[in-house]
Amino acid sequence: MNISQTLFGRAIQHYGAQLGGWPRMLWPLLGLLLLCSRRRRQQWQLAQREAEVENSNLLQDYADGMSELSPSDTLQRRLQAIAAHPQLRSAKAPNPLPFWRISLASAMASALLGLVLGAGGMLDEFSDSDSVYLESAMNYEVSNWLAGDIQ
Amino acid sequence: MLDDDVSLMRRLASGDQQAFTCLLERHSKLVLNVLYRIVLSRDDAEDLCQEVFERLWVNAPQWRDDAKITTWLYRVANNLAINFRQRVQQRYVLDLDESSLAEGGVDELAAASSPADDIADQSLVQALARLPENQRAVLAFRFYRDLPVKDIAEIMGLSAKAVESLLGRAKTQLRQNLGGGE
Repeated sequence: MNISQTLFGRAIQHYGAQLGGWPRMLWPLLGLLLLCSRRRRQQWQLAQREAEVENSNLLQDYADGMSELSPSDTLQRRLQAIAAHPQLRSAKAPNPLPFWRISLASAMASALLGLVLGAGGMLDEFSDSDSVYLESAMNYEVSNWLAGDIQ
Repeated sequence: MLDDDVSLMRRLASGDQQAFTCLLERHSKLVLNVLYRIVLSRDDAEDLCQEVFERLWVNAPQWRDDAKITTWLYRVANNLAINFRQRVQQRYVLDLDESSLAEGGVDELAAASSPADDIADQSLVQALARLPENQRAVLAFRFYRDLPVKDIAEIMGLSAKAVESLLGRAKTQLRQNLGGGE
């Protein structure tokens, strides 16, 4: 038995013969090992078969060792008596509106408010401050300004 | 025609006692056996089974149609069984004064929670008794009910990975307790 076989055997003993039992960081190493070495592959398959046998034996022991119980007459009477107790009845809360309906209603309300406010503004008379005119005599000549003549 | 669980639960929600009887016939034995495999005592399992169905009856009006009754029953059974030992211990600590605890209260507590039962293999029961409750629960759901890991995860409120890990530890520990471990 060489050292790699011993180490691999100990790893199987420690982590088990199921990939899920092995740490994720060792998965690539395990995959590589099983891919490259026929002996390690055989060792892995043997361990898996042994684990399956052990598992089915354990399952059998469990099934054989724990008999199926039937509810006793006393329990059946106690269970039947439960229905004499009052049930917990609370006032049903109204069904909450779905989120999309709340969002749509908010959007429609905002739009309506905007329309109302806008329409209200249209009916008002223009005030002085509303009369604005554009100074069209301006030009883009900045040389004087650059020369410091105009502040 | 047999009613399915959903229609029985709808009827139960309106207080139909016949629907409750149907549900008892259908599920009480399974719930009792799951509980028995966790608490390892028939008397305690019967008490807890009664508590599970009391909760079902009382809470039926709040039942949601998308819930699965077996999952709900097993979840309640699991929670009650896992908290059972703590409740028993608390009850004994409250009931027994310090002197009786010093003289033999601990023995009394051990006797009260001992897994003695004449219908099970004592070596297996003793091996199971040395496991924590959550490991016994996962074994019951996997080995007795043959539930998939995903369902067990939902019942126990764990991730599927955590259930696999718990199941692996439970099997290894049980094997060791039975004397077949490494």
